Amino acid sequence: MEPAIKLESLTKRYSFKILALRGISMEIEHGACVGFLGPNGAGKSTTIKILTGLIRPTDGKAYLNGKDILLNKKEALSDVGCVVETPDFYTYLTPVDTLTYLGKIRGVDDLDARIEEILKLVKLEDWADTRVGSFSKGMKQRLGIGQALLHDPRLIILDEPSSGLDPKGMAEVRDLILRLKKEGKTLFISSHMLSEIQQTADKVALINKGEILAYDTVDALGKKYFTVREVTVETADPVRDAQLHAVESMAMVRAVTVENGTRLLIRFEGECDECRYDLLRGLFDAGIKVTSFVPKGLALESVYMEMIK
Amino acid sequence: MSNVSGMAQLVTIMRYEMLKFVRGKKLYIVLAIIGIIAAAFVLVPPALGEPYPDAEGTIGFFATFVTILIILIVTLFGADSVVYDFEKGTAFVLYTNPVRRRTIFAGKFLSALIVSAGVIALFYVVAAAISLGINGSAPVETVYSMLLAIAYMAALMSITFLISTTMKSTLAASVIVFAMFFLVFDMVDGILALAGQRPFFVITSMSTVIQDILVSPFPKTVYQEFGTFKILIYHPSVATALTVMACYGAAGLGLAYNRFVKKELL
Repeated sequence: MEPAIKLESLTKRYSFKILALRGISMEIEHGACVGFLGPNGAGKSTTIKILTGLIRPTDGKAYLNGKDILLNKKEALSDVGCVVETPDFYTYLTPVDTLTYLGKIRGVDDLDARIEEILKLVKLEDWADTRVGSFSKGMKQRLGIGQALLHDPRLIILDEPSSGLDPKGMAEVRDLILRLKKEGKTLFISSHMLSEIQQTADKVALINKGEILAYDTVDALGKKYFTVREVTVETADPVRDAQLHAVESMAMVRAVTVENGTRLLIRFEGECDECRYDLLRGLFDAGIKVTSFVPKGLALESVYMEMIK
Repeated sequence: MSNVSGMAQLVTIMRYEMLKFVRGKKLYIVLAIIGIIAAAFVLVPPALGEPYPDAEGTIGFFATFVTILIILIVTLFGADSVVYDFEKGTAFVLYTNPVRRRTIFAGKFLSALIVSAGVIALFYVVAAAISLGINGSAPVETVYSMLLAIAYMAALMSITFLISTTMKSTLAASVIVFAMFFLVFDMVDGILALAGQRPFFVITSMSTVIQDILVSPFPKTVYQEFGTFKILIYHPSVATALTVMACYGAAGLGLAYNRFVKKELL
């Protein structure tokens, strides 16, 4: 079976000076949920725009469900739903009009019932007959997600799906992604929300300066690229010298800094969960009354920061 | 999910593009202008104590406004047709669907053409109705004039679409379309007239046939002397005008299509 997404030496040059993609290759299997991470200008949007037929690669190939997007855009996009950047809609249409329009373009069966279902899913049922011209950015984003799911596609490409949404909306999008994942959909999600990707994605592709730096599971990336971690510990009483010495002498600890007598910044090395547990137990054994134990950043964030610096 | 044909998609796109005109303000602005022209013709002569012109004169009066009306129509209905999607981001939705660019282009062009032709036809129907009401008749040339006006509009719409696919902002596209048809081509026409040259390659020079077809006998190109000056008053034949319109239409449309299918949404 052909992969859901296949990129072959994809290159995009915007001008003599700007080489946005440097021959990236990647495959995403059916049913996978892949996060696509990278700083601004890394090449995320360029990749997604090529995949959705909005721009052409300078070189290389892109396939969706085995269909070449350049040679057969209509077939390649037939089982794909996408939200690219912050989509805008014709201001003279209502959400029902918009979904009817796009549903007819795609030939969605039982369209009225499906539109009702989608509007409920993206919580726009109360604005079903209001013209989109008066919508906020968040409401347009919801409609964008709705149109991407209208035809119940197997492959869903989301470019910054939480953009413009309030915290509640972001949580809803995260839940929706998890639900789609459970339904067996293939998801390719570009996002700056590292926590969102960490909670939803099976695998992560890190891109920077037009090159894929890594493509693996979050855990595997953590093991491969990030060995030294940091934790901030708050204590009930000031840390005594003997206690500090006991912490410093622990095998995994590389450095300890004391701030204000009751705050320790500990740099340590090793496997994430297991090592944190050993470190915490070591602190208790040293008689330190721990009131707070906060690892610095998320595992994915650490990998991300490490790789793009 | 069924496999939708390109033709069914074209019909859908045209339907929603036309809905844009119906729900927008632009169509009603043009209709209001037609209303004002008609009201002025009906109300002003009695107010000044003047008689109404005969049937030919009535249609001729309306035909003098057709050229500017067409420029206004193509500016309002065509200038932003393509550029809007790329400027506002609506292309992120429609263009990522399984529909060929050529279908989107055809849908947009045909709907703009149909609505514009409808408005021009309405203008002539109003003129003919007023002529019938006042004079009891309307010349058959009214229909020829209307058909020439529609052909002229189609040529201008093609060039307008070329500008719309080339520009990056709706405002710039609208200003350039209006300025080009209202000023630039006319200036070229004027300079050529002063130089005694026939402006047979200037599209706006062809618009004179819309009025000339109502005149009997059909006016001929003449040199008019103003002291030492000799100015060419150009009256292209219907065949010349239609040929030039067809050339502009085909070239404009071909180039616009080529630009549209290659246009990238950066």
